[in-house]
Amino acid sequence: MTTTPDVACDLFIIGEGLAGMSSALFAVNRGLRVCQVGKSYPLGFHSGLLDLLCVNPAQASSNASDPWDAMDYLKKTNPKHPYAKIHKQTIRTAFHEVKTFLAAQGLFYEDLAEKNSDVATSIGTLKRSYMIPLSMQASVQALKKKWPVLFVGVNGLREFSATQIKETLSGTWPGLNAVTLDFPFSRPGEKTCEHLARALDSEKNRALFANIIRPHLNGEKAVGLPPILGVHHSTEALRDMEHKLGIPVFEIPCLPPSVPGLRLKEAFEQGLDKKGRVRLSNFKIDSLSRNNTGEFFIRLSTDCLTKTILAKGIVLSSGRFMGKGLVADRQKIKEAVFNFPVVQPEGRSTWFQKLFFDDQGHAINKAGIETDSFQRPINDHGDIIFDNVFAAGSILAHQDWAREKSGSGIAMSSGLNAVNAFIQSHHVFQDIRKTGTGM
Amino acid sequence: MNIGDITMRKKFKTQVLIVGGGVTGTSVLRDLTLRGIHCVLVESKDMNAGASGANHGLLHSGARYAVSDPEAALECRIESEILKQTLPQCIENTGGLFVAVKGDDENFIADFPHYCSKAKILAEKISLDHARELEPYLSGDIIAAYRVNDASIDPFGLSQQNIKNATHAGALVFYHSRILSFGLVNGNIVSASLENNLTGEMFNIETDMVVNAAGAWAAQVGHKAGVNIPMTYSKGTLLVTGQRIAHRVVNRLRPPGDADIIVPGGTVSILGTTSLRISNPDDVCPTVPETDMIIDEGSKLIPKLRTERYIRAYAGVRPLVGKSGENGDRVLSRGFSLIDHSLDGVGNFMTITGGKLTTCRLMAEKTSDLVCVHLGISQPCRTRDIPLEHAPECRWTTPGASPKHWFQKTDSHEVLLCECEMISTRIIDELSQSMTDEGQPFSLVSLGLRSRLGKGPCQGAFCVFRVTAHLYTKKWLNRTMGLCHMKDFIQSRFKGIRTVIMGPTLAQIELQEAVQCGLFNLEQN
Repeated sequence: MTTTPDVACDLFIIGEGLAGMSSALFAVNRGLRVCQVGKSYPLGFHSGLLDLLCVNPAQASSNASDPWDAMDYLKKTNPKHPYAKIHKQTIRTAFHEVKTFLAAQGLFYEDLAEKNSDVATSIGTLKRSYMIPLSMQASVQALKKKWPVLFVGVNGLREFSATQIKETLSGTWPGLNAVTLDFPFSRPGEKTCEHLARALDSEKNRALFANIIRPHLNGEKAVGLPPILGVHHSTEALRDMEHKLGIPVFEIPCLPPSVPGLRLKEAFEQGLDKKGRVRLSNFKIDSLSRNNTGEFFIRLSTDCLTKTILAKGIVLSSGRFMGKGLVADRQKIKEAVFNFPVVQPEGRSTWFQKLFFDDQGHAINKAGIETDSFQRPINDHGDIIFDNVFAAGSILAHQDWAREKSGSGIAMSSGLNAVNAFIQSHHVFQDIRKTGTGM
Repeated sequence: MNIGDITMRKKFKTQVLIVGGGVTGTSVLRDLTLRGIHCVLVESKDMNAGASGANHGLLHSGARYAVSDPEAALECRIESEILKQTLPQCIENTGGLFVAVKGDDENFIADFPHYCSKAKILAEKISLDHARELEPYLSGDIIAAYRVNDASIDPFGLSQQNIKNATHAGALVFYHSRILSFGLVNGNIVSASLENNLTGEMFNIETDMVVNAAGAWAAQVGHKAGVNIPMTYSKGTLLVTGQRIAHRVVNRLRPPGDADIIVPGGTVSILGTTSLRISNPDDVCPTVPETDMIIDEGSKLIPKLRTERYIRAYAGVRPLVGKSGENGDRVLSRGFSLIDHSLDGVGNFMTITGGKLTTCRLMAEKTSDLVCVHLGISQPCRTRDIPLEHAPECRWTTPGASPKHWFQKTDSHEVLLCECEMISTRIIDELSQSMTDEGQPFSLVSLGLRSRLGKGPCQGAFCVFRVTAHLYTKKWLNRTMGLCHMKDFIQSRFKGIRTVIMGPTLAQIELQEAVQCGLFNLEQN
């Protein structure tokens, strides 16, 4: 290598979605030097619910209450699925480690006895998930016990109608009420959840908001709100609103951009910065070459800056089309960084079903990168392409996360599997300070 | 009177029953109503559900037919001039170009101006440089260019205003109402029995005359009266670009063929078309090979079309009466057919079909003249001179109307629900009220037909949730109705997006599925 790199690291992580963020976390927790590149907003699209698996392939279009059982079926029926290549213990560890980390940032998550739970969404459907943020936990109880609930909307918050939730659920859930209020001291017109959430980080605003909700309470046992209870002080905001209203309060997941996703993003960013991760947000990769010892030399740039990186390994968690990890022209899907082979359906005519909500899902969603059980991309002959490049998250082939409700679980567990595989295959790291999970 | 009240009676009477709610049927409705004749229009789906809602929105100057069909060309010229006078609110007078590229038939290019002048149609030769100045995206390979008087027209606004004008004068319109059978006495239709497809409710209409304006479904309607109408169906597929590519209508200067025209549609351009013989007019959808062919062929005229983002494809069925000629369906006349079925043994039944969007007024005039002859009424046609009154709730299908309203609004509580097309709460409320007043069934899909909802780059992926939330808060929707409406609307948009999902559109559809399935679990509800 003729040039001295700006940054030398063990793992270079491509992507700032949940797979990239959790890979960075697992790596820094294991003492690796991490450099991460990506666009800064993917977690803003995250619902805030950490799914594991909800659809049991043995019963098409069913909602599995036990994700671990469903996973056993999944492994049998779809042995190429990312979960089929990852030990259950790795998946458990990934969830646990992320949960512990987020708690340290003040963001609390809980699973209910390792089972899936239901929460109501802003369109009145039920969303099943595994690890539930604190702000939505009362929603699970309220639904299960059919508590009378007051749903509160805010005028100008276009994607949220308290009446819609009440009306859509009232056939199976009696005693629901709805009211839409003017947010205190706000001008008329459009509101976003993020603006309201930032306002409710302040106790003064919470007091005003609670004051206008209180007169509408009429024996309800809980209050359901849009996801607006604070960004940086969300736990405090939730507890304070519950205190002020005297009953449990919960948030209802809503269209992105999503405040619960924003909280995840900020928690990861702050927590990882403290742990020494080098972050090069909004840089793009200009070139990437591999030297004879297998290390990667990477050139990155923004409009006005360039950086060079030397990395011992790479985690490719660049996402699918939204993340630009995959790109496609009229006929073919390609992987954007390495041009790795992409498992894909034959031609554009077969990408999508005729019906958007077809039970079978769309073939293109299962397109992606195929790996061995150490997350290393393989070619058409099943051979590993590089022994120090690992793929994680939604770019992986043979999964349909939106239908399976498996996106977060695949992201985190493939990320941990990748980091573990990197450490195992690079004995050089065995003498690095061993701090267990480092927390 | 509200239609809801009338259907309660389940039986009523009219002078003329019109079958079909496309541009032809609604134009006949308006024409006859202006002559003081009472009419009822029935439509088995919704307004402009067939070819009237699946065409370019082109107001022909006539130049396209100058060589192949001078008679039709002249009709187009005259009719487009009338419509520009009587319906300016639905027309963008863009002007048009005919442009040939290297390899196009030189004899045709040479003959074109002569045929145009013979048919008294303007076709002004302009220099290639001037053509490229007017339309900078034109290919470097163009070899001839003519300026013509083409324009674009909003067929939804046209039908909606026909209907509003007629219903204000006492006509009645029933959507989602299917003819089950005709009652015939002594070779005359005396009644029709109908079923509402949404509610299953049956009702009966007594009538003196029946006008079959069912477009591609005219043969099915004829069959119910015992009349055989030989018809040929030609499927045409069109593409919508994400932005407007040309200011004017740009035609390929060659005999009519596949993908030979690009028509402005407000903020977008519409590119087409194909001609594929099909045996059944129901459930036509664009296919991937058709889409690709249109892109490849269109990009010979405008190379930018090869890499352009497409937001939608759609397909319509051209109804052509008679058997096809040897030279394909385009040569079978695009002129219209008005058939008096007295010759088939049904005295008071006629069919009007074929034709073009541009000539819909003339088709209505001729049909109404024949109706008057049968009814022994002598009232002249008045649609040549009387402008279509601009009913305020009919303006929202026209591109640009919603943004204009938004920038002029005075109510600070009004918020945007669809950002691509700038549709506000006020517009949705106005349309919901108008449909409710008319007693029309209410859904997101029918709101979409009466506005530009879901027609922008995001194709409704986000605004579907905002509009539904608003409709619940304002109590236009209740119970679980919204779930079905959202799914129907999403599918109606997906049908159009499916074949053009490629390149950056894949990211959009991925986000859509992440939200609609990953978060909202709509596929299981």
